[in-house]
Amino acid sequence: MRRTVRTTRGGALPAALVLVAVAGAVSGAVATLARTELVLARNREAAAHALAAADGCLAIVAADLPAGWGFEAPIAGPDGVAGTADDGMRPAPAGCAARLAPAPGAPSPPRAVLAVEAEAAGGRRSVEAVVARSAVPGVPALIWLADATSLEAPAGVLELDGGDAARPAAPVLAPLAAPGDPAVLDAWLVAQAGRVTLSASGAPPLGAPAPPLAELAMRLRAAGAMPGGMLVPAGVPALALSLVSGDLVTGPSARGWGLLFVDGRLDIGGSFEFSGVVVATGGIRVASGARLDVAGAIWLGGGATLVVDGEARVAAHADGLEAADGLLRLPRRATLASLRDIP
Amino acid sequence: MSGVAAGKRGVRGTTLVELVVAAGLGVLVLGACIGAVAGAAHVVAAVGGRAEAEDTAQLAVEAFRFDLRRAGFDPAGTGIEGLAAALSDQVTVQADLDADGAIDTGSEEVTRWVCAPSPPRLSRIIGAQSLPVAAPTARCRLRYLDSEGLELTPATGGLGATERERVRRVALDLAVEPPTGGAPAERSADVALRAGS
Repeated sequence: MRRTVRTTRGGALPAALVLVAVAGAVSGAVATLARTELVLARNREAAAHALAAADGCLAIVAADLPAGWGFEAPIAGPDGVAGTADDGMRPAPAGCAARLAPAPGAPSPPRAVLAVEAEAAGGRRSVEAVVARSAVPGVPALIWLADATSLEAPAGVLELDGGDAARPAAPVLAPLAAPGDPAVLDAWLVAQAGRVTLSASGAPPLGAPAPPLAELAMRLRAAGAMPGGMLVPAGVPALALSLVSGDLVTGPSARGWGLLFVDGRLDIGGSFEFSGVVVATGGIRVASGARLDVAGAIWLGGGATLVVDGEARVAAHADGLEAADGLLRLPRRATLASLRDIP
Repeated sequence: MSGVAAGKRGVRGTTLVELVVAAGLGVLVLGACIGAVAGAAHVVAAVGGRAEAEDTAQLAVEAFRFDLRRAGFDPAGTGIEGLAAALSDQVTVQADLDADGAIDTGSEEVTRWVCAPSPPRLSRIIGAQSLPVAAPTARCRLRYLDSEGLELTPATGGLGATERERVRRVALDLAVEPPTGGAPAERSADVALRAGS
């Protein structure tokens, strides 16, 4: 009786066990594969986040580098003294560290090496970039301010035309540039919509470091700029560097070409036409009934105001800027020239 | 007596018909088991092959991006040309990695990426060393774009020097076939060139 039972039991249990074992092995293999791919995907995601953070940090730190001619000052660090512990330290966003160092090789063209390291989403990436000075003098804007809050509501009319009629293919210039959030400039333009007119294809305002006017004045003096200015009442003015110490009050008609640096306030009481760059550390006032017409750019110092009670027009004119730049090399923004990822 | 007879019939064993039926059922069950195991093994192999193709494609575009991002890296300011050659099936980039102001052609300072047609693969070439990065490729295509996003189509000899100066982005479209068949793993890299900007 016992043998009969054994015979009829069959091989179901071993077969089921084998099947379970095989199914377990297959499931284990698939699970291992899936887990490996998941880990790889997470690592890639973390690396991508970190690389994006490093790129963003690099762009922010480079944009915050002061405008100028070389990189000696930012390399000297916050204390401005070369050879100290803070050399090369640059302010950077949270989760990122940045350091600026002199570039190897010849000093010209001016450049520096900017190294950033960023952490994000558990990943860490390092990028090393070469920063240089932009090929374009100044900033790509019609009015370059040291302080965005110094803008005042015009009582007259201010026209800003970023399109260069002589170079239709050139990029349209921004109406305003100043340190900090360009939204402040945008809000000002919107608020003054009735008094400030922009060219139809105008670019938005942009954030930019302050114009380095103190160093520009020093360079102007060293270059032998004409004291008192080279403005003429009529006719074709001579291309010149002009440096006016103190305020400048113009007469019924004044014309100029090149670079006019007023180390004080420029007070316009009549017609004023200029091709190139007009710099005023103490601001510009266009009296009621007067007219300012600048083909090129206006640069204003810290705390300087642009008061327009009459009419003012600033239009892009690359030829004027280049003419001034040919007389004396103008300051430029820092740009990223090249980079590499550090593995 | 009848109980004894029944016991004897049970001990006697199975009939031939029973044996054939049992064997047939056994073969069926075994076949089903083998089929299930084979199917599962095929799934594991397909998943593994797919994962391998995805990994290969991803690693290839990451390596491509790494090389292209550093094109024209020039800390010594000697005016190194980032894009030394730009053809429809290959691109050569240069970078002064040791900052000595010169390009060592036998080192990683000159890197060539080639979409080879036969066998179809993507290779990274440094000096005399060729490393197949992805194979077999179902698609491997290089594209060159200017600052406006317009594609610059290379002639037989590649883009000329003036055209190469206009290139602001290099794109790689890659599809890697899994070794076990199935749809290829597709990736694209669109890398902005810094040098010259």
